[in-house]
Amino acid sequence: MRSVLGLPALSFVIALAVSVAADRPKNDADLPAWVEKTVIERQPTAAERRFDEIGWLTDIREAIRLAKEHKRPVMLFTHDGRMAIGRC
Amino acid sequence: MRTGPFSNKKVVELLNAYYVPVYISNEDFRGKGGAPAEERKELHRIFQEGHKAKLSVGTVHAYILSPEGRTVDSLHVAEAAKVERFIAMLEANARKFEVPAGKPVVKPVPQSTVAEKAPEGSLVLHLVARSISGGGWGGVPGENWIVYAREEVGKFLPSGKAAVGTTWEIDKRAATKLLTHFYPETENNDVSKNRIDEISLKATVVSIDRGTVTARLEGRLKMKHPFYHKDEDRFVNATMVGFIEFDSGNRSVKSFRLVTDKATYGTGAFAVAVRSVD
Repeated sequence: MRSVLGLPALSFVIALAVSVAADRPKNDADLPAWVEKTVIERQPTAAERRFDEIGWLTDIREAIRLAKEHKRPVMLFTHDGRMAIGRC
Repeated sequence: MRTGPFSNKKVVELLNAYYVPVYISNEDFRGKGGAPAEERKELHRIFQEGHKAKLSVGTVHAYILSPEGRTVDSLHVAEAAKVERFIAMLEANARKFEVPAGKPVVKPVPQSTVAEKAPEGSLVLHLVARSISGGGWGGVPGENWIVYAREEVGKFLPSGKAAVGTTWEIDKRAATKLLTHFYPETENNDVSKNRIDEISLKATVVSIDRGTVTARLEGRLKMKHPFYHKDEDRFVNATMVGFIEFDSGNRSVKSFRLVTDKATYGTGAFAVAVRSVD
């Protein structure tokens, strides 16, 4: 899952780096809001979830069955790790 | 592939309009992996047909199968990751099989989900880990779904009655099950290869309101985590803060939040966020 970042993506990463590295507040009273905001900021973005816009299957036999039914070819990607959760 | 071709608008359109897209993880097809024997046989057949047709064959590849399921084209991942090269293969085979454009055969749905429906009373935590500066691959963040069965949930809670100021150390095994995933995107994701040298997750009650107890969490972790599948002295060093809310009556967890405030991996930095999911 190596990436080759273009400039727009790089700008995004830099902006993101600023937000994810934001300092913890010194005042304990501000901590709950900061934790909540930080959890939200660190979630995968729509751009990072574009992969979800593909109508994926994860079973080869089912893919072939549907390929025959719909007279479409199959694109099978085989990989190490878990692409769906970015752990690969 | 996920940050390259599979995030490309044209590729998404081609796969949805002309193909049946499928992906598999090799881990499921090795040794005690979860793929059934019939599925393994199919993958083996696809490889064998690729060899016979003198196509590029390997474990990290993109294959095109005909509508009858025969192996007709392939690209090694190093080639498939080149968006234009991958598009060319998709367009050529869509033309070859005279596929009319249509709707996706399967409705697109989020691919990162909890593996199985969690039993009632479980605590489901969703973890996101992302590189900040050279901590991991970069690109998309790593995610994990950690499910605590009802009997494990109690290990996050104090053994006795809680009052404001009550402090307790969360059970080491329960903390480890979560914190072992505190590392950025790396090639090695076998957490059995981690070595935890220091772990602590402490809770302190900060408020009690109509039976809902809110406790602040403070934690730290020092963990050896090899980047690749070979041993190396690369360490996670992290401190974290968060909150847990639980019902003092039935001792169910209502909400869980935990974020790193400082986290390094080797010479890089990363960030983690954990939230409970209903």
